Amino acid sequence: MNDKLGLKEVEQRVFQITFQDGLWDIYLGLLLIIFGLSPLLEYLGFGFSENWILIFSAPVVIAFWATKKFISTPRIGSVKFAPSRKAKLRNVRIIIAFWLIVGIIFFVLTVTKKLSSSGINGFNAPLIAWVVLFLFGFSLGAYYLNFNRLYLYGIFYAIPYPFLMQKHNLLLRNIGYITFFTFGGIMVLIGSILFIRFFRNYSLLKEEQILKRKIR
Amino acid sequence: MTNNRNNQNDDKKKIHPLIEIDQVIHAKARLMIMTYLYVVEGVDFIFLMNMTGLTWGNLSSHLSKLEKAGYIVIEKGFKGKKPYTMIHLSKKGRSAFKEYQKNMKEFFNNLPK
Repeated sequence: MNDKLGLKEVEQRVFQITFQDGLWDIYLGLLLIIFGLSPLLEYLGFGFSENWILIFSAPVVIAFWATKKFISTPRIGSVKFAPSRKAKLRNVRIIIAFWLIVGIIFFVLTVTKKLSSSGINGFNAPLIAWVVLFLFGFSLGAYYLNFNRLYLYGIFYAIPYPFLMQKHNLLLRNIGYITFFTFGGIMVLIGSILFIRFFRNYSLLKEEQILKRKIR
Repeated sequence: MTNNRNNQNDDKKKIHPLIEIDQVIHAKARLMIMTYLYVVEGVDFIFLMNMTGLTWGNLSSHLSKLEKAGYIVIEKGFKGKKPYTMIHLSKKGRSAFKEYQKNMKEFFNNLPK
């Protein structure tokens, strides 16, 4: 029993190294800030928030991909996971795909005003969907990826939007913006600390350099 | 003559159960390498260096011993212009590790309490 647990922990440790660079924390934090900033810009009269989300998200996604590929992976090295882990990753992809499809459906229904009237005490369907999807989506992701910070990030994502939906209450709306920026900022801060630590611990060691050492 | 030797080996095993432990795997560094390789499909040299904390020379020499025993397969290749070394357990290595695990477990289970 202990042997099995030991090997399981080793496998988890190998997998968790993927999240030690803090890039996912920074990426998710920046997205949360964008989710708060875009409606604020719309409120201030700078065009539709959906457009701002796309404009801001694109460079963040590109920066995340580039940092992962050119900075993080060459330092950690690469690993091919066992079939059991690959199955877990497939489950995460299915969750993300499901989450995206449901999100798009709700987005379209909201834009076409088909969901705006359905609600309980001012909490309408898109809001409930937002809270449920983020809490469940992030929790399932945390479970399958052994990435425990995602439980907390699910709560961070779920809390601000209900405040933002209170369009006629300026105070609650402002609290919404503040919570978006605060929680996003906390995630970026956690990610930055992890990234600096990762950068110090894992120096760049290319195979070419290793081969040169061997020749000498 | 052969029977005598077999009997001697059996006696040795009874006296010293650790004699059945695979010495190629039993070294601390190689046990670490084998454990990491057992839980994944394959890793590159840099990843293994980071996980084990071994130096290049140390890791290289332990990998050579494991390769010589037929426990691991080392594949060298190029990704574009960059060289890479992929390491994974062979079938023999996987079963040797299971056997090692079983033997160690038996040894500790049979210790008097």
